[in-house]
Amino acid sequence: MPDFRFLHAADLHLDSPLRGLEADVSAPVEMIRGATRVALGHMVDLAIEEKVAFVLIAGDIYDGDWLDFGTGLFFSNQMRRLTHAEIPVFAIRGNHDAANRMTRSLRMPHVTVFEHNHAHTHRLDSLGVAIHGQSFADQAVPDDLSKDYPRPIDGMFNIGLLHTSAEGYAAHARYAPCDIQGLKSRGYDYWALGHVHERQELSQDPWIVFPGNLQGRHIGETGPKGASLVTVAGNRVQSVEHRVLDVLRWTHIDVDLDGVPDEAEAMIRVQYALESALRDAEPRPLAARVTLSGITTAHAVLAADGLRDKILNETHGIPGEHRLWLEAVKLRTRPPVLSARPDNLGRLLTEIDAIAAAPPSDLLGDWLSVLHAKLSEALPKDHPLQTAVTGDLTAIVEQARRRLEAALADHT
Amino acid sequence: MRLANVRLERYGPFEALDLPLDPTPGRVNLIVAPNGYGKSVIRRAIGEFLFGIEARTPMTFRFGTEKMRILADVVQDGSVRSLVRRKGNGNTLAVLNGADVSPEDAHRMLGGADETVFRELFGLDTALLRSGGKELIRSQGRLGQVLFAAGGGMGRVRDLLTELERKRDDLGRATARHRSRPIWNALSEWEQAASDLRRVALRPDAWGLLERQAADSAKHLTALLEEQTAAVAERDRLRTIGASRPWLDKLRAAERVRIEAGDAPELDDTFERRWRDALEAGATSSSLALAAEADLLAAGEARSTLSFDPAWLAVEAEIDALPALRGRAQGAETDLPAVERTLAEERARASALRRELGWDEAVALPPAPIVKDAQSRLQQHPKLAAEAATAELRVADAERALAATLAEMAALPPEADVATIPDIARLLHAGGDPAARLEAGRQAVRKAETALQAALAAIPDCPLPETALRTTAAPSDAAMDAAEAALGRAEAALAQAGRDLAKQTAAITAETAKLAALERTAKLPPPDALAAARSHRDAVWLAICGPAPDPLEAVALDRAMREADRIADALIEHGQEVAQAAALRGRLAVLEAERAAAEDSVGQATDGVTDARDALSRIAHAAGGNASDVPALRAFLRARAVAVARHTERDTATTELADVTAHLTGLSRQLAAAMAVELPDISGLGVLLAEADRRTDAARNLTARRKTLSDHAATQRTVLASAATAASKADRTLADWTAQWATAMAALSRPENEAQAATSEALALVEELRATELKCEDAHRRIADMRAAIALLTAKVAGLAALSADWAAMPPIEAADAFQRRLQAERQQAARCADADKRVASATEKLTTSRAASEAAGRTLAGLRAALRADTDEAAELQLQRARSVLAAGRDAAEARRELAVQGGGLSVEVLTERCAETTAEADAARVAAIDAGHAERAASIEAAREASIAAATAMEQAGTGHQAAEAAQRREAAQAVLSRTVEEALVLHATHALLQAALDRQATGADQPLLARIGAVFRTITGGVQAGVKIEDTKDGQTMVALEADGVTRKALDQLSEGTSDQLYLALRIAALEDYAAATTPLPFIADDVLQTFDDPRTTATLEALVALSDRVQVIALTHHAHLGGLVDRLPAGSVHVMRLGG
Repeated sequence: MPDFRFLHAADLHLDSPLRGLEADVSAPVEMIRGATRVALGHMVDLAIEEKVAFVLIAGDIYDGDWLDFGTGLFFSNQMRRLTHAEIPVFAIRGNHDAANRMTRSLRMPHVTVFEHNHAHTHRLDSLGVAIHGQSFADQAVPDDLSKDYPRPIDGMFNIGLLHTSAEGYAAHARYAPCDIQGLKSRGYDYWALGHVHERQELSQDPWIVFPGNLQGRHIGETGPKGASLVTVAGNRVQSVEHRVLDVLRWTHIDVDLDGVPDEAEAMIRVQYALESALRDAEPRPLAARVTLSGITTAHAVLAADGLRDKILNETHGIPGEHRLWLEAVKLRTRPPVLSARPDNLGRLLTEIDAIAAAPPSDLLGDWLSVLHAKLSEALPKDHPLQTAVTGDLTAIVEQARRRLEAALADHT
Repeated sequence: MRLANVRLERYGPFEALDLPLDPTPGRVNLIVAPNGYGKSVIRRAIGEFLFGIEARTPMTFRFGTEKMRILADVVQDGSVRSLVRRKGNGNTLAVLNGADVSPEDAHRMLGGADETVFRELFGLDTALLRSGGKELIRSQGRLGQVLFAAGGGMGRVRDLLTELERKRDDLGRATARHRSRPIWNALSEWEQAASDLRRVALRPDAWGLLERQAADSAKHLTALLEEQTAAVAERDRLRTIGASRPWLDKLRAAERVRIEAGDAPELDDTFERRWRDALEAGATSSSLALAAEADLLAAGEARSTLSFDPAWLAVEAEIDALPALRGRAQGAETDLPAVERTLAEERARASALRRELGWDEAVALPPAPIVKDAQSRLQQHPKLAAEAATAELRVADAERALAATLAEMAALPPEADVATIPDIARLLHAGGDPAARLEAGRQAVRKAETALQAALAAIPDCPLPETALRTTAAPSDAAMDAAEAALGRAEAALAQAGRDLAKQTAAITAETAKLAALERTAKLPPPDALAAARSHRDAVWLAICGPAPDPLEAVALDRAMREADRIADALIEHGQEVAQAAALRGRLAVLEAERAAAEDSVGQATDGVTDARDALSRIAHAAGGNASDVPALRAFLRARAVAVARHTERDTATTELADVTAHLTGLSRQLAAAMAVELPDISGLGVLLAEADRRTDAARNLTARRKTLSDHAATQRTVLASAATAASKADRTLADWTAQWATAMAALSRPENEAQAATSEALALVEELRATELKCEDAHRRIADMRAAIALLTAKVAGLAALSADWAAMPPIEAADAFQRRLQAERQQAARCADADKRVASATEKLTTSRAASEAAGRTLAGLRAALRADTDEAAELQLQRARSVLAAGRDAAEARRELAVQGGGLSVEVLTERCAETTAEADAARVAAIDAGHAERAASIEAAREASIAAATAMEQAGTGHQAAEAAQRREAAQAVLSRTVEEALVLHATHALLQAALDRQATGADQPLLARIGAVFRTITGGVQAGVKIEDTKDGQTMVALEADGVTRKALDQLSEGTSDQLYLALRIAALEDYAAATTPLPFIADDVLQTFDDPRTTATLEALVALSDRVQVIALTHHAHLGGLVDRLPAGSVHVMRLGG
């Protein structure tokens, strides 16, 4: 059998909006809006440049609640480029594709899509490759689909194409769960998985790979994103390379300010951290969430209005500043313990701590329900207001406690 | 902690200011100083002593930062430590002349307070008092805020509450939707973006419509194009027939001509041109031959009239060279006399110079290098002679100086032996004047003894004598601090446990009340009622099922079942209340458990206090005292430590005096021995030391002089040797010159003994003679060259004279000019003869060529006439005309066939002829016009259809690539993000406000009655009974404080109090807060800066009484500029105020 290469991608989530840069007025809106499309274009470019034998897409081409048919047409046009380059594409529908009423009816003339009623096999006899796969029929697939995948074909390079949460990742919904041992027991040479957005190599014998998504879409999807380029020689996997295809990079920048005496020192640390993160992301634009933590006497100053602007000011002059946008600034610092003070302030803070530890259910009055009635539809399901209206005030009261701690420390 | 003996050094305006503060509890320190003296500086200094001097303190304005210090005795727990605070970085607090105070120690000393606590709670001035009074009025008496304000100027908490509320409402009120507010603006943006997204998103039906539109457009376009194609084909066919008609006619006409001229000769296309060319060539060649004959005749006649003399041309090279020779000869003839005169003059000058040198013509000039060398030597001689003379003089000077130094050394006196005296004297001088040292030692012993006796007398209640006291063991500071801290912790723990127990009890009471109310309002059955009812039901059922059922039991069963159902229904109906009741019961269970734990804590804390007091008692006994409480034990230990220290100091002073006396006596003995004098009394030690110093100085001076002279002599010897070497070298150089000069004179042919001046002049003459003789040689050479040029021209002219005898007698220069003119004339004549010969040859050649061309043209014409079958040129012309018409008809027929092939659309001539016969030209033209008229309409339709098709395709293409939906979705996300953020911020602000308010309310609820009672009592004291105190009332805003009038009944809201009274209430709150603070931990000194200035005398006196009471627990330092306060102090108990007057 000839040696060949193939490209394994997953979780394209085309036209899925990038979230979190709205606070930065200088953010590259055009780039953000088209990022998932450009990343797909990069993937097609890579496949053509590397002359791969075929491309695998392990589900979630579209977003579940996405309703624009134009997204499907764009995808189809990109796949047509691969067809013109004589590169076949094999795909399965993931939970998002299955949930999307629009794209379920979309024809994909340039892609071989696996059926959802049972697993079956496509053979590429000229390469000696057998690709086994099954699409999601519905959004919720609680069963282990891999159990019913066909037996490997002797003498061929067998690939399993599967959309699954595998053994469970906290950040991802649990769909078509399976375990590594079960996948290994199928006897395939390569499992091309999708659904988990972080790149994972669950096994190298045989190879079981989540390539991650093509483009990070929010601060929960950090680091380099792309697809896996697989080289097969002598009917065995020789290498699995992660090829970066994203347009914009997301990252967390954690700055420890423990023991920092003043704001100037704090800003020096922030600037150093920003510079380092920008260097790591070169040459891509970087969307960052800056989190300040630690116990510091500068807490009150940092907690005052304008922290975001102060941090933005620290970016001026560092190399690559034009590539940086702030997704958010989170203040997790705390002042030195004030409740230990032997005066009224200390006693008041002790009282505040006691109330915050077990906030009474009527602490916030009817303000909550009045506002919630008007905003519930427009707010995300996990918004603190949605949570608070059910009676869970812990998170919001903790924020309030920190705010008070800072304000009272500042007033001293 | 309390302060005593504060001292400011180089601080602010003070170079040194002592404040003898009294730390005694129950005594107020009153500092009276005029305005501008520096009271605020003193207040600041105390703060900076406690917490460090600010890096950029303005107190450097007079003395700078150098040596700035603040010193104070810190009295704490019965001990006194003298501490000093200096300005600098890091740890700047230290024990006076001792180690640094560690941060932990300082923290302990300050009772855990920081600078903010000091500033807010322990500092009060007029402005703060006034603002505090205003805060009370603004608080409207809300107890939480009032208490907080009293606790240290934290009235701003009210501003914080207001600020939180304002910020929340700025983001958007929950009850009013205004787009100007961020929350509602973001919601509108979100709704708009969501609407836009629904509108612009491409749906499958829209895509299908686009596909159908594109297909219909393409189909319509195809139909129109086919119709257009058919019309164009018909039009082309008709145009083909129409275009073929004239060519068919022309073809038929040409055929007729060819038939009619059947016997005409067939000529090719070039024949007529060749016939015409032949006729023209014959005529042309004949005329050219005639012209050539005439030219040949004219040229021959012109040549016969021309001739020249070739002999002149044979010698033209010699004649051409004559002008150059003529020029040189003419110049030589002109210059020759002047050069000959110059030669004669230079020869005469050379002869004169030789005579002056004494040389005849036979003496050869010496070479120039020899003369130059001699001149150089003559210049060197004076310098060499001077150098030799100077060197001799230097040798003589050096010899004289050395002799003088050696003589001085020989005259110095011999050295004495004083080697040991300086060392002994130095030991005696070390440590200062011996007599003063002895006296200082004696005074120190006397002073230490006095201090010891005073310290022993100051020990309170000491059962032991001095010697026994020294054997007791005082606890270490750490042990004492630990014991005291343990007692403090135990007492604090006991107080806290008591408070916790009270809180738990109050919480249980409140929760129990809630539960009772709930059970009462919802008529809930007891918690176990349902289980009991069901148990009863089951018991009755079992009885019925038993062996002997009682009929009445059926009735009981029915009742039991009804009761169980009723209870179950009640529980179901009031499920929510049941759940709340269960939660309350659970909460009560937890609280009961916590109360039990709190009770245990109280017991444990009580045991801890007992243990701590026992430990302190043990410490007191070990140290030799009987003190029973911490202040007394501290006081005993402090006095004991002072006494022990004084005893040690007395012993140390006595020992030091004995040591000094013995040391000085021993050294005096050694010195007298070294000086060989009698040992004096210890009082004469000063005279002995003075003599020792004098002897030592004299010996040192003599040694130094001897050493100086020795060094000087060695230097002079070196100088003398150097001068002698230089003189010898100069002599040798001068002798060498003299020997070489004699040799030079011989080479110059000068007398051996000639003076150097004469030789120098002779050398100058020799150089002048050399120049003159060179000029003579040059003139002589030039004369010879001139004469040779003249002779050469004469010879050349003579050689050419044979050409003409007329010029033999001419001067050579004129003859040369004549030869040149003649040669030029002969050259011109020869050129004219050559031109005439060329014209004759050219005319002969033209004549030959034209005659040959005429003959060839005749032969060609004859051949062409034969081809035309004609004998004459006229007959030939006629034949040629007939042949031309046949040839034209052939060309027309060929052209017609070509055109028909092109225009006929591929149809043969026969078919075209047939089609033309079927219709007429007019009918075809009408048909074509009709087709053309419809063409524009069809083209417009096609263009419209094409545009429609392109538009449909473009719409499909854009549908696949557009970003409208993505843009709308992004806007929706952005709006949602802004909304999320602002709502969360509003939620946090709301929660922050609620949390703070709840905490304040709880504080107010938890405020203990003793504190409130104490506030009222102080208020009553300060107002001199005008206000009876304060009272707490429950209002809709929570608990509120009001003031009580003198009758103790009439209430007055705080915002109704006068400005002065609200200030006094604020001061009462502050005093109560200070006492409360002091009860919990070590207090700092309270500094009241001019807080009494707005009080009248009775209230000032009353306030001083309150401060005196406060000073039992907290040291009070009052600053004032009112001198009359000193008088008011007399109204207070004696010793309750320590007055310090500053600034006169």
